[in-house]
Amino acid sequence: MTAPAVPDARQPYPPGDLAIWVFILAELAVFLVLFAAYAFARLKHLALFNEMQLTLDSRAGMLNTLLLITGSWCVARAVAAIRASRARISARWLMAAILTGIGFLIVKAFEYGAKFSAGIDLETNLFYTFYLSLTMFHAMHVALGMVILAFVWHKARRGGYSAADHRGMETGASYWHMVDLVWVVLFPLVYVLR
Amino acid sequence: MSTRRLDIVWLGLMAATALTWTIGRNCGASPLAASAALAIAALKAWAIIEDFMALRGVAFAWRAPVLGWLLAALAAILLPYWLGLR
Repeated sequence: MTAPAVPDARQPYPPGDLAIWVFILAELAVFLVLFAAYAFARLKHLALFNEMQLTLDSRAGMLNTLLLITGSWCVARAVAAIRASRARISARWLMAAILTGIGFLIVKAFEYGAKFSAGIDLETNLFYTFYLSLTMFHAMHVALGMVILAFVWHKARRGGYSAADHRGMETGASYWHMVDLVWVVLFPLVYVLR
Repeated sequence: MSTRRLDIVWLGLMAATALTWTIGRNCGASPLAASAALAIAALKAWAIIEDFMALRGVAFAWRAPVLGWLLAALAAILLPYWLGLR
């Protein structure tokens, strides 16, 4: 399948393969349920959630937000580059995005490590059950997004995309942006809202 | 989508993230701070949807579920938050 070469024209369909958009909408629905579950659990255990939230490292949460936003920007620049027939530049932007994903997981690993070494786990209390489940579920999506971006990067390096045919890259990009989108809502919900 | 616009959106998202963190750190538990943080999150998510996901200009039938998800997520967070204030 070939992608339209004119990016700014009115398009009937979103960028990338339509199948990924069905998958993205399904993933967003799952996260919506998890957000609602967290918010209503917080309502029932307000004091616990407010107290436990203060034990989180909000700087790590902010750093991870900056990393994912930057990763999303890098992917958007990669798509813009391939549309301008700059395949090598596009591959470099993709690698930069993968590095932000690695950075995100490293920060998360440090966060989890600090909690686990303090004896905190899924069973510590309801807040940590939600915090660990929600953020680990999201981190799994980051890891999957990195795998997808790695495939796209590999193909881009070999000249597998062009200005006329880059639907595969747009497909991977759309998934990565979804991971960023979810985190942008998750960050204030878990780290900021009191 | 021009690369210049992408760069501006990125810088705006970075600044908005720093602002959210500052609100959370300095304003403590207050409905105003919470509302501000969620309003900023809504603007950030909207920018990601329109500019990074490149749904601006796409048929409304495809934009609507994603923008609708954002509204639903905000409602699912705000409703119990406000109930907790009573």
